Amino acid sequence: MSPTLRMLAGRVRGAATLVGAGLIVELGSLYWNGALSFIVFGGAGALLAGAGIALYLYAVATRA
Amino acid sequence: MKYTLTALILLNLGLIAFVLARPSHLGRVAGRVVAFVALFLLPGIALSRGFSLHLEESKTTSFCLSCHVMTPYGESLHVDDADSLPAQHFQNRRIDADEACYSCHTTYAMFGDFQAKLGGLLHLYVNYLGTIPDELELYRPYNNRECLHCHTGAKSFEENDMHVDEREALTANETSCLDCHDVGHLLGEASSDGAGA
Repeated sequence: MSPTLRMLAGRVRGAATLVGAGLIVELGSLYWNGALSFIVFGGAGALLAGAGIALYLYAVATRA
Repeated sequence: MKYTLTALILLNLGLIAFVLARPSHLGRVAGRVVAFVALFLLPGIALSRGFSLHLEESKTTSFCLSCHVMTPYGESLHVDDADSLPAQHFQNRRIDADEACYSCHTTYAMFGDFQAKLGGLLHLYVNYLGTIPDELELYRPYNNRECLHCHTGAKSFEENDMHVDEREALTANETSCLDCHDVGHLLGEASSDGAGA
């Protein structure tokens, strides 16, 4: 694996971890019927997944 | 929609597991496509669908009543009293029982939904981080528009002599529906067999 690809893979792994964590939180919030579920979804799930998507885009944009 | 979204998220998690397990595939076109789908396309769809699902969920009666402070208001929907308008609306299904609170407490105007959601966020803040007032009050006087949204065109409303006489004033919100109808919730008077909406 080339150094460039290794760096890309590292960032993508980080992005995947963030997106995965965000989606797991979102999944939990979907089955939690309470006012806090919306806050958990927006404040944790969407934030984590959004950060993961942003990191992925950054990794792709800067891979050269 | 909840189960479709669940399936989408599970599929997404499976693809993420693949990306995590096989990072060397990023060197190939197929691997990059999988990463794009797993880390951009599907999460984007899942987040937007999840957001709209949560917004819909926030309209439900059970959502409103999940805060302890609202329990007496939920119980008031089961009061056995013909003069209690909230109870009569709920018990006779004049409003959707699953969206009982929202039906009367949203704003039927442009950006009314948005306004209601902002109010809901403020309620959440007060409930969890602020100080809940001893007596809950509406932010502003109840607008006839919310009643007329459903009652306009209804025979029982349109053919009532009082309503005919006051129609313009009612529409202009100069005469309040509450001047004649006591719409307030009867708190602490729920019948024992039906309490707990």
